[in-house]
Amino acid sequence: MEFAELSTAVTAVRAKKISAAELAQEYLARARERGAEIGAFISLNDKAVDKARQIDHLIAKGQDPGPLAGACLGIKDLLCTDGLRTTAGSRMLEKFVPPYSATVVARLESAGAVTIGKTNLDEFAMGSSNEQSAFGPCRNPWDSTRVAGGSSGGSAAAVAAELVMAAIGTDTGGSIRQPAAFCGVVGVKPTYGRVSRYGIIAFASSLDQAGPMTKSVRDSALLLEVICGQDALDTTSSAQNVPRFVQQLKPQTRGLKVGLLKEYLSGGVDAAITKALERATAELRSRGAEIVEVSVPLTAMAVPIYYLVATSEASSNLSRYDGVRYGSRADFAEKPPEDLAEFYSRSRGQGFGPEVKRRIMLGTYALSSGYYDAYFRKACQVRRLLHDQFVAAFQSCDVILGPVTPTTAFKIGANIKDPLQMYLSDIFTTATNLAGLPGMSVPAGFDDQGLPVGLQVMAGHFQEQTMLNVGAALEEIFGQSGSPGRG
Amino acid sequence: MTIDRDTIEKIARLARLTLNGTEIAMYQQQLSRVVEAFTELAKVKTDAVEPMVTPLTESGLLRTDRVEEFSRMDEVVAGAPAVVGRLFKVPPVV
Repeated sequence: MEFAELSTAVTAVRAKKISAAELAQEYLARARERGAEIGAFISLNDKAVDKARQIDHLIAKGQDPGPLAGACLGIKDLLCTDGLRTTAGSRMLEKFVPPYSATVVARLESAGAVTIGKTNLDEFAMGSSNEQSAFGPCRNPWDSTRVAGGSSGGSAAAVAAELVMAAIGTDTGGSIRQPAAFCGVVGVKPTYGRVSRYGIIAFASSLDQAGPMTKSVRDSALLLEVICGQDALDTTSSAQNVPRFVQQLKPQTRGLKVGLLKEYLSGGVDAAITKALERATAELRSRGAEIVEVSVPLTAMAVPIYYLVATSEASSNLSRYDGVRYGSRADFAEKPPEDLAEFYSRSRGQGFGPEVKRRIMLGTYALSSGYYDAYFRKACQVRRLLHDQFVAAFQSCDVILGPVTPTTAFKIGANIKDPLQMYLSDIFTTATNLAGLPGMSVPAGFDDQGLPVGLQVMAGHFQEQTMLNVGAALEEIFGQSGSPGRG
Repeated sequence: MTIDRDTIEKIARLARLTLNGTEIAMYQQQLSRVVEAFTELAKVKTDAVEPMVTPLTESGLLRTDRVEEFSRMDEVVAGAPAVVGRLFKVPPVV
């Protein structure tokens, strides 16, 4: 029972060649066994097979089960799932069971998808390696001594290891694209506003977007069609029309202008990634694309802007965890709090892990009196200039092609003691979130240690179709990465 | 640029985070280094640039302000660390 892609599995279910229940049982078993070895999941959905039976029942009655009938998915444990524990990778929410689902989850399930489990992540999506999860790290299925990437590490690893057919991740500064690159899967961060953020535990509200992580570009297009679109429950969701991404998907690049960002080509990138980029450029040119050099000088400032804006928003968003209405509370039996501030502070000091506290501290500092103008306001001003430079760059090209990461997957523990070094590894991904642009990571072969290499395609606002088409061309050039141990 | 210990303690108070001595020393060292690396932002000229707080250019979608029944209040309350009936229970703090 091997399906290279979600699309083929759904077709088989709809044609009654296999039942959704059989698939759910199989994937649940894989998630339980192999998933535990690599730490891909935080919780599994024991109602998955029941849900799959409902899909089979609809099909038996001749009713339309939806475009994702029987699709077995992993959902990042940052998205609320009705009746299924949602932890955000934090001790703070260790026992949190939401009484509602995120709009993304509701749309997927209405389309016939089955949630197999909640995937591992860095606590509150804050991290680039999945080592900051309170439930332990997620390991890279291609080399278990290495990180899966982050923050959507569990989603990427689960897809790569074929424990699910596809997964949903979220991307605030690269959290879909970077783990996708490290694990050899496709990962798409849509334009800001494309996908409802309702029911997604907030990290940085002006940057967060959910998106698909899949084996193929076609699968990502299929999931995007379901999850994109305006939602009355999210005031920042866009009214822009959602294209028929699958129908219009074609690996066609003739006449397209592919931009190479000068600032992303100045070195400091692994040789295997540079080689993949050169090969992609040459092949796209031979397929009729025009290669042009573009410049966005302020990308050099993307990491500082990002870490000031994201942490400031986080320090505000995470103020809701006060130990009163939900979430964990410190044990006050031996030493009762002297005042309300101490009650909050001790619960928060115990409930949050080290990276979350570090970011709350940095954000509070950037927003505090005396530093606000120099840090938060300044970052927001440079953000606008960066945005404007990107808009100008997309006047002279249709997409920008570049690296996702400076290196392939690094060793577990390599960057954990040096937060600045970890932050700097987000150098190629944060700019798209700041500007609100769509970006995707596409597998582009392997380095000489057998670790996946990814390439990034970025496009103008709401130009996901063009981006996906270039992604499909890259997929033709490099092929899918397969699965560890299966090839 | 070095952030002094008093500032770290003040920020922790503002952020409502109880930190132990080891954490205070660690964050002092790490945040000083991060902020030092970020001082390059000051070099960018931003006179009269309106700060950008969202990438969204559309005016936000609004929905009718209407009271709706929510039938699952017991589940909401069940997530609290301590309750009495449908009330959240906290230790005495005054």
